Amino acid sequence: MSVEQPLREGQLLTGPLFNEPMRIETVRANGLDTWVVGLVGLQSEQFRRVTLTSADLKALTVFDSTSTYEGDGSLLRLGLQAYALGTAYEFDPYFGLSISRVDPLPHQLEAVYDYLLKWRRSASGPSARMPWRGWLPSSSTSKC
Amino acid sequence: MERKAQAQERRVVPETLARFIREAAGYASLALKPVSRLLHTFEPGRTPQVLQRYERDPDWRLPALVTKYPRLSTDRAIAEEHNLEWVTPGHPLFEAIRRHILDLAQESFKQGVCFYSLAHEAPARIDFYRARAVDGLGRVVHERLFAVELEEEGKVHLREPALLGNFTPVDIANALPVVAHLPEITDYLHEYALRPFLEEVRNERLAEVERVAEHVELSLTELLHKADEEIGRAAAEVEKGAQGAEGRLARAEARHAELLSRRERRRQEMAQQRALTLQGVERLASVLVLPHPERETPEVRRLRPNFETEAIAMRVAMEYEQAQGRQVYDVHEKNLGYDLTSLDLSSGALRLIEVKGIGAETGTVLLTPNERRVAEDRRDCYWLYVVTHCNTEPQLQEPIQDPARFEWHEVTQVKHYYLSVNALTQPMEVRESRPPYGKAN
Repeated sequence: MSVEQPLREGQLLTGPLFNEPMRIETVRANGLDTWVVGLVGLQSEQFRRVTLTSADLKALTVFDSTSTYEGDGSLLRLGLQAYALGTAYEFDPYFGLSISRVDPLPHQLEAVYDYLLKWRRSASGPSARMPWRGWLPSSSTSKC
Repeated sequence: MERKAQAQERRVVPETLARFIREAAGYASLALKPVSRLLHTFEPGRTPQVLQRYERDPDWRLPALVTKYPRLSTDRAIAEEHNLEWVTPGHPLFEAIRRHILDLAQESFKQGVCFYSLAHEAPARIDFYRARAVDGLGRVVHERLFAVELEEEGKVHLREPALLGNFTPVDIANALPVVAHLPEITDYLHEYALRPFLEEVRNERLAEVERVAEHVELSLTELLHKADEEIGRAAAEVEKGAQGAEGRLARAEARHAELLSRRERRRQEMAQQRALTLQGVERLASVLVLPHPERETPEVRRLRPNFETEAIAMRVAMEYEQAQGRQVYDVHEKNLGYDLTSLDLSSGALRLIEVKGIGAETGTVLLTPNERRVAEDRRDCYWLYVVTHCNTEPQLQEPIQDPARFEWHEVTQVKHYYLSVNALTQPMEVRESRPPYGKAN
């Protein structure tokens, strides 16, 4: 990374300075070879304001956000499915049916999805439970 | 009834989960041997280290993975009947595989991918976005994936993310088409996808929060009433000079104050739960879709659907369903792998219907990979409706339940699947043998 090439919004930074890939949100020049950069961690989604010098930039790899379309199609498709299965499990109120061949009656659907399941889910992350335990209401949500 | 049908339609079935972990296991170096006599069942090898490291993720709240899992199934009934490990979302092994695939796919997400499509006549770009609805407490209430297709001349469409199942991955062409360089269509995304998404979640959320708020008000007001009474009793005892009455009064007042503060805090929490904002809107990936180079060859042209014929067939199929008293919806534009959903309001039976039109009395019907996948996964409710004679007097042939039971022939050069039908015989003959045309295997 040369000093002449300033960082741009949308680029990704990886390297020993960070514990996760970071996306550049803001860039402000701060002198001749220093930039104040607003970064968001791709995994933690935490914002950090970091001052980087040209020496720091040499230790970093900068990925441009422009797509080259050279990725692996099968893996991308599988990755999107992995993502969709994760969000469906976590947020789709109908997902509970996926783990059962039983067709509940309408009033049972209403009871589970309109009352119990959503509050259980809003109380703790999906990974806090085994799938079949997600049907139980959380005591923490019924508190007054 | 409609809610039940919606739940049935959206069901993520064991077949889908089994296909996912089978395809994903190779990327994770996890040996997964299918058990021939049991559906959706596998004999796993040792759990590789690459998967075990996910149990050390800060947000991992499942039990640790074990070194080797016993025989497993993605089907709950089979797992219970044969005392197998039931592996499904929420199981540590499934979650580790899912996270591993997501990690591996990041590079391809960043780079983007190029696909061939039989349905596209010109290059297009599909951008995949993630969006979250987050409440005032910082909790992610909902998260969803969106796909927006952009054509070169500027037309934009909202698509189902499963659309990619119909395309064939290819190496990038020498020069990127113009559409690859067009800016993101964020205004369209907000207008037609994100804003409706937020509204939908907000409406659902408001109903839930109001229900809880009502309960909170009722119960805390009742507790406050009781605390008031306790203060009154304690104050009367203080006036009478009863022993220990001042202490009881102090405790009752403290209890009252604590309840008041609790009610205030809960009211504030309720207000924060009602307040939703869109957060984490991010383009996850971008793919280029190019017209399949084989789409104009005589073999493939013959197999490609004719849009006019398809429209006639759709009309006939919908009229038939309505005449049967079923509630039918046209969903063909969503690319879900079927064209119609049809609900029998008396029995609650749901049909996912794929409609195929043929101009003459004989011909072939072509299934896209997506349609074939759904046909295989939803054998319980997937139907194929073939309308013949679309060029003259359209005739709906006897609907075919579970068309996946037939041996469909793969058209290898375009990865689609066909079946020959002959309506000259009654009932319609479905021929699985190879016809004298096409380069099918």
